[in-house]
Amino acid sequence: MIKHIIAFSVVFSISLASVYDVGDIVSSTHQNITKSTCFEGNEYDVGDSWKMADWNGAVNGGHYNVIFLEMTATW
Amino acid sequence: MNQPYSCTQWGNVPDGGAAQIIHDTSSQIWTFFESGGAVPSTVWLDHEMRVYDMMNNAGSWSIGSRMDQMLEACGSLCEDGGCATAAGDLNEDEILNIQDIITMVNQILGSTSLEGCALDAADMNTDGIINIQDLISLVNAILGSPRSAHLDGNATVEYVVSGKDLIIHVGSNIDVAGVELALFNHTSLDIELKDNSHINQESNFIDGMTRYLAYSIFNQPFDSRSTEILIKSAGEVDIDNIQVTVADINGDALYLTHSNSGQVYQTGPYTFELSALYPNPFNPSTEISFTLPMDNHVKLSAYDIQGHEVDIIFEGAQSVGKHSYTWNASDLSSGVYYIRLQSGSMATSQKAVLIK
Repeated sequence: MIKHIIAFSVVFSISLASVYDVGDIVSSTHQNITKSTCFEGNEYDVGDSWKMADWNGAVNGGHYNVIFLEMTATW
Repeated sequence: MNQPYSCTQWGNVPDGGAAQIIHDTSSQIWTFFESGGAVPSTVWLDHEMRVYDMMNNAGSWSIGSRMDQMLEACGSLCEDGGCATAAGDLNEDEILNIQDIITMVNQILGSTSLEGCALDAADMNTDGIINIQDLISLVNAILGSPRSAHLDGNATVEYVVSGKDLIIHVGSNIDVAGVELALFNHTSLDIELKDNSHINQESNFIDGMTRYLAYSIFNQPFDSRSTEILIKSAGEVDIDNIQVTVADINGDALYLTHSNSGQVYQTGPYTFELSALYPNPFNPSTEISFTLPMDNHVKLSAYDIQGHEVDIIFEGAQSVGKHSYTWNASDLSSGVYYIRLQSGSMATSQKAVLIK
């Protein structure tokens, strides 16, 4: 059994209202927003584009995962 | 103060793990899940990209327990190598059809070599082997045929040498829907199923092995529970080099008992004989078995008591050995009939009583 975990650090400076609540499915558009990776790992190199859809088995060729995003900040 | 502002000034995740640090420019992702502005803020997404939970200052137990819950809900999809491809969808086009049957036949015969999720999809019964059982299961899935109760069948497989040839006789206690053979031999072997004109036969020789399949694309059972397969020029093949799989209409394998009589029946046990019909009296069908001492043209027909031919059950070339046919007399009225077998200059008959 695999357990892909993403410790997800966010560098941010502002705070806005949230879009999703528990039970909501993240939209395809939002899943495909790309971000830059800070370190290599999980087959990413530094600076590679990262997106939530990479972890969605329905669109990545059947490799299903459960993930958590841990968001922290500098400001 | 003194906090780093570029993403690489953050330390990497300890011991790597499966974690990934990214830089959320413009705080886009943060705003999707932000919960009260507190940090660290954690959001869990299940395998469908559904928000499972959100929490501020989540500890390791909170994180781990939710991950476990999501994994449990995900089931086999999230297992290593897990595939979303439906069972039987060998070409991964999300449709089960004849293309998948052809692909599976080619896979079993060694003509193609599936990989990844397609290979998983071919293993319909998840026993780790792609064989006739999976093919029958796939046909049933396409036809929408519900699985019947477990039939728990068994069969005796007898190997009989006939001159240079080998005959495999399969006698079962339930209907047979498919047979698979694998024969280790230096050369390709010609294999032929007796009778059973509705049964598809495919074979292939590769890497010193002849593979053979007999099945119905409509999952119709074989003509009778007594089946013979002729393997030409295989009289000297060691039966230890022959693998036989017999499957029922559910795709379950029959339990097999093997025997090697060593009989040579080209000059041996088969005489011209029409066996007693079973059942008899019957309604509306009965099984007719006969044996031939040599290859010959055969006519098997039914007559009423006035001597009128009312049905031709089989007519054509037939080979040495035992043959069985089912005679369905549902279109005839109750009464006495005679089943007549003619082979060359020889003829014999049996009385059959139809009671409706």
